[in-house]
Amino acid sequence: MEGGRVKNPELIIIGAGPAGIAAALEAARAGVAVKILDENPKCGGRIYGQLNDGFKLLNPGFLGPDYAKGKVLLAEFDAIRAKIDYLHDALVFATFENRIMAFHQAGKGQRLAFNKLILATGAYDRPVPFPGWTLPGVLTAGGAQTLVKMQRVLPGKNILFAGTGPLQLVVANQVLDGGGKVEAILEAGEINNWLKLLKGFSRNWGLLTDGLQYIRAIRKAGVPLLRRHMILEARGDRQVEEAVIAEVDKDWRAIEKTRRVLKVDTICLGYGLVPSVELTRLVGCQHRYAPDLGGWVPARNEDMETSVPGVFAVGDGAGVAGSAMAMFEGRIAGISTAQSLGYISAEEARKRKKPYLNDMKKLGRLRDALDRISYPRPGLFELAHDDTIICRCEELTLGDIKSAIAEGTIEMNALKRMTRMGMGRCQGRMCAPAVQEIIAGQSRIPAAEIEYLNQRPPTKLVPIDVLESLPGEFEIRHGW
Amino acid sequence: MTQDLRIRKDVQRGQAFEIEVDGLPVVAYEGETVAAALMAAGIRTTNQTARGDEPRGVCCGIGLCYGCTMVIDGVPNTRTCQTLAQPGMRLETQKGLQRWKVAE
Amino acid sequence: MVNVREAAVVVVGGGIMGCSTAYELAKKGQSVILLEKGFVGAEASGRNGGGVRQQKRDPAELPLAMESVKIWQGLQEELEWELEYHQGGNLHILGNPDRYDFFVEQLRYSQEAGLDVRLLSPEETRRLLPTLRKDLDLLGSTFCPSDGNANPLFVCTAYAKAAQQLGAEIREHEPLERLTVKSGRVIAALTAQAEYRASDFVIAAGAWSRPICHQIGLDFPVAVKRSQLMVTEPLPPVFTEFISADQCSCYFRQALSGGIHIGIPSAPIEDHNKTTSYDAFKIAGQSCLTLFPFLEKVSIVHSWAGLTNWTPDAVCIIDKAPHVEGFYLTAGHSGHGFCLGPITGRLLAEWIVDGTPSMDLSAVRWTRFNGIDL
Repeated sequence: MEGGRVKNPELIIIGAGPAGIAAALEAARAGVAVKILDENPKCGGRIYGQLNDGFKLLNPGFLGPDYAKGKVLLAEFDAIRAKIDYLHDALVFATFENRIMAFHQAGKGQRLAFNKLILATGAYDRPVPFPGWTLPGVLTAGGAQTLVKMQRVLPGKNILFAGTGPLQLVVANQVLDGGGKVEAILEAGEINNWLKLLKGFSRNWGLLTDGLQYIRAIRKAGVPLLRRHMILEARGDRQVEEAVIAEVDKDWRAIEKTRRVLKVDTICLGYGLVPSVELTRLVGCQHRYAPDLGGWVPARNEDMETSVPGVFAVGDGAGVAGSAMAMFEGRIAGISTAQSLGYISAEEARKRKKPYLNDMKKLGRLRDALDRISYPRPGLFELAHDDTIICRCEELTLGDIKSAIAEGTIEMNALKRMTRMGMGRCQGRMCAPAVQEIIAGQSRIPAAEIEYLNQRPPTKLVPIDVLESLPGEFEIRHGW
Repeated sequence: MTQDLRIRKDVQRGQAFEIEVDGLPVVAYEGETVAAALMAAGIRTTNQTARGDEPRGVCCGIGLCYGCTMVIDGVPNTRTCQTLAQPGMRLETQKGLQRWKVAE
Repeated sequence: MVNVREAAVVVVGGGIMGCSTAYELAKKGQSVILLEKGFVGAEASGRNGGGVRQQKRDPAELPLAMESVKIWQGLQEELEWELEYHQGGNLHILGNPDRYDFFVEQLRYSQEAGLDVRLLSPEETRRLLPTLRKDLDLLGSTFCPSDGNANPLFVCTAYAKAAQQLGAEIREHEPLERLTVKSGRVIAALTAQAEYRASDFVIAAGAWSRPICHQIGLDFPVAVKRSQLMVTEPLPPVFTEFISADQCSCYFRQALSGGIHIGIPSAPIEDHNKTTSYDAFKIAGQSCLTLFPFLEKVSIVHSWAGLTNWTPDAVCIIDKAPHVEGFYLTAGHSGHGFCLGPITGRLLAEWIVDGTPSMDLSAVRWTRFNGIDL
């Protein structure tokens, strides 16, 4: 399913999940020449992703209600595909000065100039360091979901879910539906409040009715759903064999006497998502620290435009708010770019945006309510011991980080230089969100005031032969 | 066939084939990632870390954490969760930093 | 109310030059305050390729480099910090017949100055570097075994901490606003926090030096250039040498952590822009494959850039202001100052405290630029 040919694209969109697709639809419908690049083999992103070639779908039921919603959007995308230049397996790894970006596809490096740019880069599971979290058998809930949903493989034989919010319930359900065994589900927050809220909103939002169904199914399967419980430690010889859990207080700090051990071989962590802001940072957008949206997010105006003129950010990558919100934001950005390129009048743009803005407002209220419950509490960042690995790539422990902080290194960038924290292959994705909170905890400086790691290309690792294949001729030059 | 962790309902898998993991055969199906085939077979450890010699395995599942890397067909540091299994593929549990083959 | 502080010497700039100067002054019992606009080692000193090299030096800098390497050899012990310094050698691969004589001449005067530097045959070069591309045309190489490299991330901090232990005050996040000159003498350095009075001032602010010199009516020809680097994912030990070649633009060094650092030649840049460029990525890819085909599937993990300041002859400046008392400057290191950091700090400290440096600095004075159009 290739895209159409578009000469001289006026709008580049990065990411073909719900937000990117919705943006492409609206812009292309208005007449904008759109090019959309997505690193995955199939469009839809993580939520509406499609099965790999080789798998034949017999019954889409296990894919859940998201699948049906995704299908509607993907059909809409299909209908207009001829007008959109869609590149799959196209990984954007850098943007540079003078509005140039570089990507690679099928091993070949490419250069692309951009003027209007919509970044719809999504989010990833929040890394939460605790003793034993590096053992094989500890997965993120998102990683487990990818296995169960896209690969139809259970992540283990006896699974513990630990986290907060709805995603882990969805994944636990998919595991149960696939015949897997779930030992327990630990919700760090309050499920009762949660349920009340869901009920209050469920009339308008199918998504939440789904949520209730998940909880019912979990209860029916006899799986304990423990509120105010967290995982403290994963143990085992070379892989997970047991989990130490405990009840926690309202700050998510363990109540010691409630400590107990569960025999499990797999632990799935679902503590919410962190926006992938590597590209918005690299392009130079201003960011703010918004823990309710997952961490650092680009500042945006009501058109979804960032502080860099012509650069828009939408979906979970601009602040985690779920796929419904992502789609609305995408549509707004698509309409806004169409207007700014002169394809539609301001009046027409207003008209087209109106229904989405209304929906967003309703959804926004719900988000606020959910955030109050699943907003990470300080105890989440205090689970690691001094010998717990924080930076997985460089194998740095909390003790290493703490002694650098004690030496007076309280800036992320300086700490990185001193300890190598964030210098490894994950490029800081797995440690930096936690390190920020560790510095805040140790230094008493609010996390929002701790400058994040500098972002430099590449935003994903890129092989040397791909770089060599980039277009351009340069003569040999010396001087250093 | 031995019990594995594959979910058989709702999908039909494509062609089955073998890949080799540390010299032993492991079954994989068309469309499966290497990580999925390993998890299905109950193989958890994909590499041992360079400094602490600690075991690591699939963690984020979406190519970001580099926990699941192995030496695949001689290429070290290859993410199993981002690599589709191919018939005859040879995988090795990576022990620390591994040498890249010198071309030519 | 201005907060007034006093010291014997105020050093402006927390790079390797400033930090080593502060350390050497403190070692001589001087009270020192160092002002740094960001954190120590945040700029070029912490962002360079880490080369500690004597070969391929201009005759003006060669004795300084050789003396500096002597300090480098004992620096880890002296500062009590693992600097990852090792003398793995510096290898320049010769492949351009037009430049061959130039390198041979460099070799000649370097040997004459007492440096152990050798001309290796193509076979000897390949034996030293078996990973080199098999079909690379090469005429041989120049090799200096006592050259080496260190981790730039640590050196400034190590110096700064050692200086602090000797009583120096390191003030980070305190950019210099202006210098006060009274009756032909610099008397104070002003920041947003305080006025720092001293009898001597050392300006070691790298790419930010020139505007400071303008404050005392001094100018020298210096261009700001951007030097870019990138690093691969970690590999097992491949080579210990710091490598450059006629056949490609980049230089290479493998850090102890395993990553191969690839240095991209400096180019002029506006506005102190420290982003990395598209061109750098292409050039790095080309250079890697020109020399080392085994890097083909190895990935780049990070890139970064530092700002270097270049003189017309690519030789540094270590000097006193000709017309204003109490003003010392070291600048213009032209992308290869890292090696010279230790000796520069020592000489400046000698100059300030003893009245005269122990080495002849006439070849690195700024008066050599008199008459040059600025």
